[in-house]
Amino acid sequence: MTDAELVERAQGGDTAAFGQLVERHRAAVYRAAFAVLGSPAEAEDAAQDALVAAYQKLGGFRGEAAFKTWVLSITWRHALDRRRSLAMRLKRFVHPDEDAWPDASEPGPGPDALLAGSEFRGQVRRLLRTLPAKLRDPLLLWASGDYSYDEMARVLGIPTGTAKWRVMEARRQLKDKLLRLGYVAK
Amino acid sequence: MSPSDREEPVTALDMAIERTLREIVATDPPARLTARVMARVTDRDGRPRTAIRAWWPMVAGLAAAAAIAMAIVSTVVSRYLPRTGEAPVAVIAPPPAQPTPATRDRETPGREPLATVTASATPPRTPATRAARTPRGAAPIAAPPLEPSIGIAPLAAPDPIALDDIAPNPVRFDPIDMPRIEIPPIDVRNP
Repeated sequence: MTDAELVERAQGGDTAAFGQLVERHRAAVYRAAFAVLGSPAEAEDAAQDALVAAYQKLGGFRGEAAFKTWVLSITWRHALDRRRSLAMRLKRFVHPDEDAWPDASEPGPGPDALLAGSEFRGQVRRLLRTLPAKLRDPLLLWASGDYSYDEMARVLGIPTGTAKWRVMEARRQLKDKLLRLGYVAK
Repeated sequence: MSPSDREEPVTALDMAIERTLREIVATDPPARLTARVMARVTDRDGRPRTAIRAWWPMVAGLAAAAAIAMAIVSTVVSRYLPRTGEAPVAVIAPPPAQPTPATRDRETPGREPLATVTASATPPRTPATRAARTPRGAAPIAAPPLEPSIGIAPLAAPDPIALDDIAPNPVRFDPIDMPRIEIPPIDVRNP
């Protein structure tokens, strides 16, 4: 069953249809929230709030965009609101060294052990925090692999060209910082 | 040339960055996420929660907060602002009157004399002016030039009777009026 058909049934009151939509898109929703917030617990709460908000607003969904893009836009706004909230700012102020985007998987094998080790991942995570949010957010959305540039642009509310430029610029800045730390671009 | 058209050499570092970023965000949501969402959108019987149930707690909370805020504001206003009954009464200038000898006698030395009535801006009505009233349709008579004024109505001499109602300033005292206490000298030979 396509998303459009499930949405139509859910709008008619079929909660099981909405449950299927949640199952299909919960990973993308969760990763979008995680990209913004950097904390698994916060990402889970934000994803939950966003999906509940999507259910409440389902009656107003007219199908102009894909359901996935629409629900990810809601998720993005919820996650940004959460990041800007006083509680989150206080938490970052109290625990500035807390590990953002903690390792969810083991580092895979790579051609160069130095570039695949946990130290390299730690450096990348630390340098991610130094990037401005305007560049970091699109970079992490792109890295999740769940979005095309068009979808990403719609979620972020920016033109597609701007989304592409921000991803390229974020990668360039990250690379420059790693080169200054002594990593070599072979 | 747009950034997307630029062809950069892909180095091992570029590939490592891309791979690391994907590993960082390749996190799966917890399995309970769907169950938690469905628990909030359906009731215990699995029926969808209605829109009313979803937002009425928020509306009730907002109404309570507004009521508390209004109570606080009204308490502050009543405590720190003068009550309606204590507002100064608007002074309506009585008809102009010349200061009388009785009024002058009440003035205490050292105080500024009370303000007297100055010439009114509009001349008093007399039969002559009434007769010269402009008939309908004709150009109005030019009013006499007004005295330069700062907008304060000229003070009239107070009613001499009203001065009797003025209570003396309880704080002010005249040392001259204080009773003098005579202390008799002490006789050291016969205390």
